[in-house]
Formats: sequence, structure tokens, C-alpha cells
Amino acid sequence: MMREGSLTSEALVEAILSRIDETEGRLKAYVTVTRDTALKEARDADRRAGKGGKLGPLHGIPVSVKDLIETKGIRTTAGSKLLSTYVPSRDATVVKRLKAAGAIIIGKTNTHEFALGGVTPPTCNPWDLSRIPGGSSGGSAAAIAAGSALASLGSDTGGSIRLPSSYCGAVGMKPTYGRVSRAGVFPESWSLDHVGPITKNAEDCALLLSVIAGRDRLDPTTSKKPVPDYLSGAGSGFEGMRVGIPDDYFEPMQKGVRSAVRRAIKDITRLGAVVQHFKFPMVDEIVAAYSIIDYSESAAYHEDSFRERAKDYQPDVRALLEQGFLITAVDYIRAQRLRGVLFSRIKSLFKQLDIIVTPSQPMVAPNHGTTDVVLDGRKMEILSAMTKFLAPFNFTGQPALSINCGFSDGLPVGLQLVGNYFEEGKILSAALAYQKETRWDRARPKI
Amino acid sequence: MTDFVVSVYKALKLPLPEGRLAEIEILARENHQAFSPLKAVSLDKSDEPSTFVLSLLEEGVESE
Repeated sequence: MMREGSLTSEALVEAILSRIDETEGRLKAYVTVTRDTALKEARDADRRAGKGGKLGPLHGIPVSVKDLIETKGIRTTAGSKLLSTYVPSRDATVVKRLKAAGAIIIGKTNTHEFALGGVTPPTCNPWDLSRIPGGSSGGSAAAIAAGSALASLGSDTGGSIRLPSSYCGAVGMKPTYGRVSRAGVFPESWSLDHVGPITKNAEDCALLLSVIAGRDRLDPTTSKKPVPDYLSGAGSGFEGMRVGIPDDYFEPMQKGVRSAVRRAIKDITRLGAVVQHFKFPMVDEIVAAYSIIDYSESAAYHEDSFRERAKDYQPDVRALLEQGFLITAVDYIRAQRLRGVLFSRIKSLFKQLDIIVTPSQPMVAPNHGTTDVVLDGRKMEILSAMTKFLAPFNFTGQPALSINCGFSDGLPVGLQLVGNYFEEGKILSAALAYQKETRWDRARPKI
Repeated sequence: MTDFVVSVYKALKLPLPEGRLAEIEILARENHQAFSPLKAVSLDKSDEPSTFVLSLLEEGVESE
């Protein structure tokens, strides 16, 4: 529409700013809204469009960015008192790539402090303000669901893109480890961190991923593997796709969530998927090993700041770091040894499967202040319940996406699609086909 | 356990969490329990720490 001139970037940015004004008092999705610069850049974008010539794939589109990701000249707090006045002098690589594609940064969205949690205070869930949006990229997912952002960037170390996407009814993707640069993003855990898109639908997710993916000299863990055009390269969806359902991923769980996911599996079977049930290897062992790596690497990153300013961390984050300091090197290395074993098993598993489908969460978004949940009669600490189905794929490094698959008690339920390494295209193709069939992406919260 | 917590914090020159040692001890015990499935895994002597990042990078190089 912008190429044809029937829509201007300025009008689009003004519409999003107006929606932010309308919702932000209740939602609290943003830390910073870059109103003036966004409007100026939008007018510049319209002038460039008016002159003709080549426009980027995100020309004039307002995008929000998690406040864990550095933005040149825009305060980046990582949700922490420790960085309350920090203004980066450079953009993270993913932000540079957004801008190069023509995107306009409209603001910075709330994160749980240093991404170390699944709540994202003070952001609320747009479907029910008494509930959390999930985290740690909760501001991004809440803004997408509320319509106060068109697309957003998040990060995911144990589910921090997929968890809030599930709770808010957005589409969120954690790509393969090494597919998207982490340069300029505050680390939670170096070997588990991923950066990816959070969007309203699968098409936008594919577009954003195509823009931000690829080798980056500033992040030596990025792969040289060429980046396909995920949007135009979408395949034939679920037709003939070999889909694995890990039966051990369905408990403990809320009944309404289980029903929604079972219904989604029937939908994808109708779309031509060849479904086979299997047991995912070593789930409990993975969760234990994941936690050891996450806590240890987080503690190592924060060691110096903690020594000087321990009292400035939020109590839950401080407690997590304090645990990390107590993990032994032998346990950490044991966890990394398991990772090597599992990597081989996953590669074997995907000789028989194209994707794995699981619930994203065992529950819908909990109320603010919830510390424990009871699922199938079993009491669980909330963070353990939130990360149980998601963190294994940070541990393995596989790509995974959460997409809305319906509602339970009026709250969104997420379906997780997991692929083989660097096969984001297959996941997005499946997500596009499922979305077209069900149209859950059209549901909007009344906020 | 208290001795262990105090010795680690002193070794790392971290601020001792005065008044919260008991709380940290409880969390550490709970984590010890939560980590137990990993300790039960039988690893082969040949199972080295993960090289999966390098493996992924190799996959990328191979495809070029």
C-alpha cells in the first residue's frame, strides 16, 4: 500500500501512537515510546517513497524492540535499576537490520529484569488485565495483541518469546541457535540465548525473520548458512508432513488447554499431516541440565555487578543469581556433556520427523502475584511450569514457534511447532497453513 | 550447607546475604533435588561437553 501511495508511513505511525495512548495506561507494555523520532522518520520514509526507487521490505513500518536490545540513542534499561540511565552508542545488529529494511523503531517494550523471569512487571495481559502477559518479552507480546505495535523483537533463553506469545495470542519464533545475531543484546545465558520476532500472524513473523537472520561478524556463533526468503518460500503446509506428538508433553496440564491442543492436532491431521506419537528423550534430565547452564551462565555474567550492587536487583532475580553462584563446575560440565549426547539424538529423531507439535504452555496466563500452580493435582513452582515445554529447545538449539490455537476461559492457548536445525521454513509453512485454516489470528482482546 | 554458602560467597568476594542465609540454603536444597535427574544420567567417558554450537556452524559452512 505504501508503494502505491494509498497509505503513508506517517499515517501508520500516528495510528500506532494513538493506540499506544489509548491502551498504555492500563497495559504498560512500553518503557519508552519514541514518538518524535518515529514521526520524523516516517515523514522521511514517505518522502523517499514519493521519489520512487527501491524500498526495503519493512519500509515505513513501525516496529517495537524489547528493552534488552540496544538501540542507538534510545535508553535501554534491560528492565533494571542498574541500567536506568543507560543510552547505547550503537544499535544491536538486529536493530541495524530492521532499520536497513526500512523499519521505524516506535519504542522499547518491557522485559523482566535482564530477561531473568517469566512475569514482566508491570505489564498486563491485554486479554485480562488481572493476569500477567508472560515473559520475559512480555511487553512485546502484550503490545502486539493490543494492537499497540505491528511487529516486535524479543529474546528467548528458556521460552521468553514463545511464553508471552502463548499467553497473549501472538506468533513468536525462536530461530535455530546461530541463525540470528545476539550482538548488542544483553545476555541471560550465552549458550541458550536466541533473538526472534513476535508478530500478530505467521506472514509477519516470516518477513521479520528474513530481515534479521544471517551471519554477523560481531557474533561469532552466527552461521554462514544462507538465509532463505521465509515469506515467499513457504511450502505446502502440513500436506504430507511427518508430525511427531510427544505424549509426555501433555501432563500435567489444565483441562481446557489440553482440549484446545488436541483440537489443533485434529486440525493439522485434516490438513494432511501424518501424525505419529513418540516419547521425547530425557525431558526431566534436559530441564535439570538447562537450569544448571542458565543459572551458572547468568551468575557468571552478573558477577561483577552483583558484587557492587546486589541490592539493586529485584528480589526474584537476586535469588536466581545467588543460586547460580552455588553451582559447581562439575555440574555445569555434566550439563554440557548431556547437551552433546542429546544433539545426536535430535538429529536422528528428525530423520523420521519433519516437525514436532506440543502445547506451548501447560496453562493459560496466571494472575499477577501467582507463585505456584496446581496442574492435574500436582503443585508446581510457576517458573518451572512456564519453562517445562519450552526450555528443552533452547537446550537443543532447535527452531520453535508458538501460535494461537484457541481459547480456554477466554484466554489464548499456544501451540508450539518445533523443527530440525535451520528448518525455520518448514515451521513457518506449517504455521501459515494452520492459521489460514483456523484464523485464530483474527481474534482481538477488548482493551 | 551454611559453611558451603559462606565459603563460596567469600571466595567470590560477593556480599554475604545477611539474614537470608537460611532462605538461600532452602533454595539450594530444592535445586539440588531438581538437578538430581541429571546426576542419574549415565554418560559415556567419550561424551565430551557440548560442541553443538560448532556443529551448527559446520552445518552452515557445509551448505555453502
